[in-house]
Amino acid sequence: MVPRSSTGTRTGGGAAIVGTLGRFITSRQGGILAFVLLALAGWQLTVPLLVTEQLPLPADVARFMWDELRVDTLAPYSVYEAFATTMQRLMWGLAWSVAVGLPLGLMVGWSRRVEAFFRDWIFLLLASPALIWALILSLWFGFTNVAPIATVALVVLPYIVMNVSQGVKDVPLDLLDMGRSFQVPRRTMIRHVILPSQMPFLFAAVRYGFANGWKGLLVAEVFGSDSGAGWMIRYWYEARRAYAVIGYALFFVLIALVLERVFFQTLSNRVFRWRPSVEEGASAKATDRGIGAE
Amino acid sequence: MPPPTLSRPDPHYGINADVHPTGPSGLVRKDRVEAIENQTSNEETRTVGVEHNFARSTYWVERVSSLLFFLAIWQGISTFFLEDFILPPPLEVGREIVSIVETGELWEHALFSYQRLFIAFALTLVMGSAIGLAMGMSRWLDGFFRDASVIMFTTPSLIFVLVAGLIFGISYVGPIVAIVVASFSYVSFNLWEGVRSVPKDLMDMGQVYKMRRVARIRHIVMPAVAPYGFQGARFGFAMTWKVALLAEVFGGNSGLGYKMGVAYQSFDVTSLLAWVLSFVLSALFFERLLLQQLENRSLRWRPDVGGG
Repeated sequence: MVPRSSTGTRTGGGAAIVGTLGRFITSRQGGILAFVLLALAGWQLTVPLLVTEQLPLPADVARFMWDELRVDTLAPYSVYEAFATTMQRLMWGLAWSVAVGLPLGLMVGWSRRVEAFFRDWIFLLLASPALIWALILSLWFGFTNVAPIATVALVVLPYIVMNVSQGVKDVPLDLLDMGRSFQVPRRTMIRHVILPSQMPFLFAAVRYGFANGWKGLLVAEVFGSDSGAGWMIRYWYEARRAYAVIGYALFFVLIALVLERVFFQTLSNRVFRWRPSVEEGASAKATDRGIGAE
Repeated sequence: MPPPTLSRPDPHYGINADVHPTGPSGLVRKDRVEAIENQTSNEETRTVGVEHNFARSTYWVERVSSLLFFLAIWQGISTFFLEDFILPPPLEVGREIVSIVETGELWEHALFSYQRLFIAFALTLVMGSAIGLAMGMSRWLDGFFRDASVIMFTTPSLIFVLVAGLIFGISYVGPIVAIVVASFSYVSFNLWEGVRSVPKDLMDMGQVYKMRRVARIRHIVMPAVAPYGFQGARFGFAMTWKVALLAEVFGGNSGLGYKMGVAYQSFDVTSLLAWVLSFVLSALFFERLLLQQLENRSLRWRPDVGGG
């Protein structure tokens, strides 16, 4: 607190302003602001010193992004079309991996023998970079929708399987016991006990798969596609337009952050409405950790 | 505060899970944790994150039969449904691997790739830990570096590779820069978490008993940060080799990734699969065996890791 001067409001106000300013500068927000300013200044100042002609200034990137947003572009697709294609593929890929991964994960979680059967392959899937799928699949399928979608599905699949199988192990044992003693049919048990307890895990996996899957999708579009955001990045790369590559990267980051913060947050609140508090227990752990999770 | 064990949820879920390919140590530690849990018949917290607790399996029959099963599927599809140039049978890929080993091509390119990879990894560790420690120690620096780090790992590594390619052309340095920029944040976030986990009460006690600064760092700070540091190193390495691969495919003139790019451009699936398998398997070997051994060795003192 800044001590208030009793003699005059003017000096008191001045001290308060200085105090607030000082606090702001030394606070975390001050750090954030300082970073943004320093980064922009550093970028602006170092580029002219470099030998290469390739590096753009911040203004070039901003101008490019603005032009793209107004659909004033040299490229065959506008930024809206490019990201719409990419999003569509991403959704298909996620849908496929949930469709395959959910039953697989349930089986893996249910039985140790099934787990032993699939485990090594899931590790291998997790470990291989998307690039490999992108290369192989685009050799196989050419420039169709198949390679990008399958890449997303393969990248996301192991996360779904692992999370769902964790979820199965996490099914409330007491509820299962109760169901057994009351002879609840298997189907009802699955519908009312197992699936609801799966939701947080599945949700986390999808959210997580989204963040990863679309990085993989970008690579797949670079190698095995002729449309979409990844292909646009390649297009500008081959035209040696660094400002455009950086501009697209920024679009990408912005969209990812917005989707993560807004879309998934809303969805998560909606899916877990039935819970007394989303902040509690496994669901919070499962859902509140996205790409930019603190 | 108890030492961080992996039976609690992975604090990096969503941050590191990206590069959490095998989680080898997770496997080992989880087993031991699970063994202890079983002894006390205390079935409680399970991890949601990718730090899975698949039990260490003794189901060798299933594992071997699974390997045979998938190889048989591969062989079957290749013989009955697709042409060999689309999907070569497993034996042919094996023969190709043997041939690149015999001609010495594999060693030549692997040496080149790994040399650069380890230089980049060392730089990643240095930069990542410096930033991570700085973030852990001051709120201002935390604010300063945080958004940068978040942006770094939201941005696909492809972008760094391409921009580095535009700036440096086909060079030795370009990929190194791309790798370091793309992967340092994985190390720094882990160290940041590690610094926050340093037990405050022990630090206070050290102060009260007038421990020297060096001794405090050696005996209180380092043991608390070490597990996070190793985790960061492992995640960092996983990221590093993936970016290195990408960089070599795009802008290399030598190295394993370059050979993959060549195979891709000449539509040679056999050779592509051979190079892919040899790189992925060797990278997994480094990640699993070397880094994990190192980690287990340094964390021996922890009951749930070394003591058993």
